[in-house]
Amino acid sequence: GLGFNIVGGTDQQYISNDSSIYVSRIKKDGAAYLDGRLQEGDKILSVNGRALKDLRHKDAVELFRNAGCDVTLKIQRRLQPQNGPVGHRGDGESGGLPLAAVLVPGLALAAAAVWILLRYRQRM
Amino acid sequence: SEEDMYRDAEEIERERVLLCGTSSSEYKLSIAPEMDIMEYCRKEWRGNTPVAKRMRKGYEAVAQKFASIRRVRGDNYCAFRATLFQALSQATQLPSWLQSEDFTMLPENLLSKYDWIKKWQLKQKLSRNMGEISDEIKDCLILLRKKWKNISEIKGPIEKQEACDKLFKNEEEEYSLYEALKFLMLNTAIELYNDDKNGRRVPVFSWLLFARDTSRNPCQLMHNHLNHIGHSGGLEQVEMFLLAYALQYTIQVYRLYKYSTDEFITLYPNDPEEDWPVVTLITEDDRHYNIPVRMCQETML
Repeated sequence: GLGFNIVGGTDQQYISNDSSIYVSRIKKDGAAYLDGRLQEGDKILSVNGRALKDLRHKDAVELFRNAGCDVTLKIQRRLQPQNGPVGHRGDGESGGLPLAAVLVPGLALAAAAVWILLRYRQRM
Repeated sequence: SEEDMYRDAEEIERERVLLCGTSSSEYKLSIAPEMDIMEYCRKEWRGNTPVAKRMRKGYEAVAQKFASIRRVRGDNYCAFRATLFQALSQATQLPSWLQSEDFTMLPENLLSKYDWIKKWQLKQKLSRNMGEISDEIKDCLILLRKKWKNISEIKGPIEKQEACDKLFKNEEEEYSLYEALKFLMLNTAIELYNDDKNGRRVPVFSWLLFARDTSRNPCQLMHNHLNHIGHSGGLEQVEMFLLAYALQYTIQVYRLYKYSTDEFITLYPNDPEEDWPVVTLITEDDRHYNIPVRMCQETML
């Protein structure tokens, strides 16, 4: 797989109006981790040129699963403070943003309008 | 309090300021701002006792579905507070029972049939005559309908949430709503009791409700249970069923001390009607309720 988790979608009960897809966790030693550029909290704008807009969670998942071996992501980067909160969600691995920091505007770290194009080979 | 054993002085102080405010009681915040569930859990449950481990696993399970938790003010109204807040946060229409024409005639109608309702204990604890009780409760019901209608008509989720937050900062209005919920529970209990007496089918919890020595009938239920809610006690589990039935909502509760049993996630009622909306609460001990927010699915790619 690609080696990261996503949250988001139009059918998720967010308080904010944002139904975008976000990277919530990057799996250690997975494809995204080894590439090194994708970060937790990044918003995924498009996959292989296809915009992720107004999709239900499971439809976004479908898009990723059908993305093939070479995956191009356009992402919007969130800036992180130097000594930002470190949280983990349960499986013993440390690091990564608490889920709320990814999703909650009030708790959010500053969002930068930086678009990055990532292309890497995923493990099938 | 027992809870304070697990939190440091700084956090207790922070919460005191948050929940008590700095000025008059009118602006107490009943539902704390959200925080990340696992962060909350780590602060509450340090150490490696079996209980702490169970709680952490429980919170992890909640965190698979919800991103954040909001602490609910812990007086004996917290079950009402948590349930009503969740219901209003997602309300898009008035429930059918709120739409009925004679909804506000309920106190008058019931008082005329059941004289013992004049012993209803209002929040203020002053002795009231029958007319005042009827008017008082009627006002509470009207307020409930008005607030529910206003909030459900708000389209934007942010504005809707703000309206809920505002409502739950106004102590006087808030407690009037709980009075309304209590009375609706009494009304539902009377219906169930009468249905059972007349040979009509009633849900199983209704038998349990009236099997208790202290509530053999609706009058006893009022005297020994409903009148005490918010004062000396909260809702017992069988009364959570009654609340769910009164609202026609399914109340889904993560009961953390029941982690790794089949009661970990309990539904009130446990055989829910399909068209009843679902609200979700968290409890560590069936005594105090908090609310999970930001339901979110996380998928591994």
